Amino acid sequence: MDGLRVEGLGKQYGDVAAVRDLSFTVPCGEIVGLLGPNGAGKTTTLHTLAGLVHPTSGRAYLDGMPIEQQKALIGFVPEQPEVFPLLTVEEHLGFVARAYDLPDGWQETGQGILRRLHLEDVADRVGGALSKGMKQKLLIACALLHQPKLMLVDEPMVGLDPAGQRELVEALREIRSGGAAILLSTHMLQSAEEICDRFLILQRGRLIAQGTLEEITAQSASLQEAFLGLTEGA
Amino acid sequence: MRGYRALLYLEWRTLRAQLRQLARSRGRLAVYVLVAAYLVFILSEGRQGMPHFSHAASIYGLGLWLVFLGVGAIGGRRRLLARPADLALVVPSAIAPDRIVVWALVRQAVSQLRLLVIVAVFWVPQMAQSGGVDWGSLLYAVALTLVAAMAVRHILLGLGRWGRPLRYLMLLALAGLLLFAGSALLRGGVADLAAAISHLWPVALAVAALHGYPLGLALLGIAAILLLLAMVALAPRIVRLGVDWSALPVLAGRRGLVARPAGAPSGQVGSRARRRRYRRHDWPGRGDYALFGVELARLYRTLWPTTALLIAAAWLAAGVAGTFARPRGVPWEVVPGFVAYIMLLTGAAVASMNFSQILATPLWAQTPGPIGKKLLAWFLPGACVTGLGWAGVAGGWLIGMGETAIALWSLPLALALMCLVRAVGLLGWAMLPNALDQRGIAVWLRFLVTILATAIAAGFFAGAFALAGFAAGAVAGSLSALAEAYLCLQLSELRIRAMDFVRPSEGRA
Ligand SMILES: Nc1ncnc2c1ncn2[C@@H]1O[C@H](COP(=O)(O)OP(=O)(O)O)[C@@H](O)[C@H]1O
Ligand SMILES: [Mg+2]
Repeated sequence: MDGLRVEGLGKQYGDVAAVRDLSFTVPCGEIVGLLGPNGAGKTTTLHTLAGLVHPTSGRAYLDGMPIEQQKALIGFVPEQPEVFPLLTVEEHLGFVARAYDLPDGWQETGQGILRRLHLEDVADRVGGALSKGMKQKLLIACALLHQPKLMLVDEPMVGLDPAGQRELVEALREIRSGGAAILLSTHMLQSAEEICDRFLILQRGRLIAQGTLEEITAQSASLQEAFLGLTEGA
Repeated sequence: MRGYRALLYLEWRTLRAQLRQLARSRGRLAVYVLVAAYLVFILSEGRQGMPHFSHAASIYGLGLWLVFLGVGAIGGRRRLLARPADLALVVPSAIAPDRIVVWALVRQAVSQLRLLVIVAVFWVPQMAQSGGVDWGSLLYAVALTLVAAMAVRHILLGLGRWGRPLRYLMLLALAGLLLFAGSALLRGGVADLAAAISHLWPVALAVAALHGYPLGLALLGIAAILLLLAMVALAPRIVRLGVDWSALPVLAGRRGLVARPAGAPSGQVGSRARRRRYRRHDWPGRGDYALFGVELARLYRTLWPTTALLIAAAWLAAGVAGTFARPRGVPWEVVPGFVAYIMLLTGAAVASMNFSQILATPLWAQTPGPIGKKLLAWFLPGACVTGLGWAGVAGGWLIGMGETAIALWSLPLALALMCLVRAVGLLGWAMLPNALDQRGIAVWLRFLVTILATAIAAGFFAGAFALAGFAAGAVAGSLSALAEAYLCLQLSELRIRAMDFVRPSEGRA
């Protein structure tokens, strides 16, 4: 099966089990929402998949290959928008193009991405002079530039203005239709409801429910109610 | 090659942006021009008699640098990829982790070289005195020691769990070496120390290499190559073990005030019991002095317990060394030299300290009350902790010698001097708060200012000591140091009052 497959993933920080025995899949062409209250282990999960943290146990595969061999196919947008303070927006794209060895023509792709994220006006501004939302959009642009097969996005809606949120949703839908798999963590249930095809609900590092919106809300009126019922009951 | 191409591009563009910023800020440019002019002056001055290298001076210069290198090499993983954007953009990218490690190594070597240039500038006048030195071999030897030290650091990283006891052993060895140097210095004075140290064969070899001795150079080269090979052999482990990248507090969202305790395993913010114990403590400092408690908490979390134990061990060791040295008596004429040496070490550490980290937090800017008091509350705990470290060592030694009264007198002196060093560092930051000025040539300037400022208090100490004995010297030294510190604090307050507190912006490119 193509896409992301995670088997028994676990991460222990000293005496804190941040993630325990997590197994799920994100098929190509799907947006999967990783939901859970603060401290549930969403960021830790994404960090292990992005190669920032070594899992204590478990494995993950992208397109059937171990994920650590597939880094060129992954786009990661971290929760904290940290950019190079002295590189301009355009130079960030230049760095990514070189890091992923993109063929010529990435300049046009990059311009297009900057335009849709409304970053073209600040293209020659350095990272340190951007607002938080702009930094976040810049990191999204960097993650999109090499057209990844797997997008890992951590709490993307938090710092974005409404227009930015809409652009992000559209961009994610577009790369989904291009056949990418997308794993997106959030605690904003409304926007999750709007774009995710399926959901994983985490609670204290464990997967406590998964499925489509209909499956999860079978007994309740909305995703929010189902979410609160699941996470408070557990 | 693709990874290196991207990383080179990153470094090149960053450098270009830094130079552009520099060119745009006239005040800062003036400072840099002054420093450059000084360098040119020193070097052209020396052209008649230079290049010369006195044997003792080369040993002290080398010793100072080796101590810096040693501490850096043993000091662990925390700074390997400490820049936040590395974690967001470099580590998760397609660049192979071993290339990232090599890049981090080169970056660190370059910053070490910068430090060496700073130290070297101080030794240029010294070098101008006597004895020839071969600059080619000097460069070669310096490069080799740098490579070796960096390799040691990464080997320790790659050894993971096993690296930690090794690290402690090396720290102990370093402390022993310093103690040896200190007691030799106190026993026989400056020239004897040089002679004594040059009889330790690794040092003798290094010094010989500096003077162009071929066997010394060859052996240094072999050692560097062996260490490098060991590092390459360990590279996969370095990548696997040392790379819990985001356990660095940055991406995990625990930025700022609370650092991981030194020596704790990555990502573990102290043991649960310890945290609970500390939470029960009622922090001192209220109102204008609330930052006092915050700073204490930070120190507690960074110092406890490993560093505190090491400091206590150093106190004890100093006491034991003192009892051994007792029959020979205290050679007082070396005291000012010893003070100067300590000032050099701490001055260098302070001069490159990044004050903006705590002072730029909104927490600090928002609280009511006069800035001067807030500054005082922030900087006193750190000054006392560093002061106690040095005073404990000197005091232990003196008590071992049976000079308890002098040990007691040196306590206020050490505390006052540390207050001064920190206040000068703070003033340096207040004068040049831009992140760019925390690095590079401006560090040299701050270093120089720190030394000069402490020299005034040291002069008062020496004068009163010569006239009326140690107690008078301690009182005069402490009072002048505190007065100077107060002045620096006032000046910093003036500067800081006119500052924007949230100033991450580095302008347009
Ligand atoms: N570097 C770390 N060291 C110790 N504990 C950590 C670290 N990173 C995360 N944790 C802990 O792991 C748990 C999950 O955190 P996280 O993945 O950031 O949650 P989420 O993103 O869902 O809010 C939390 O209890 C957090 O305190
Ligand atoms: Mg999170």
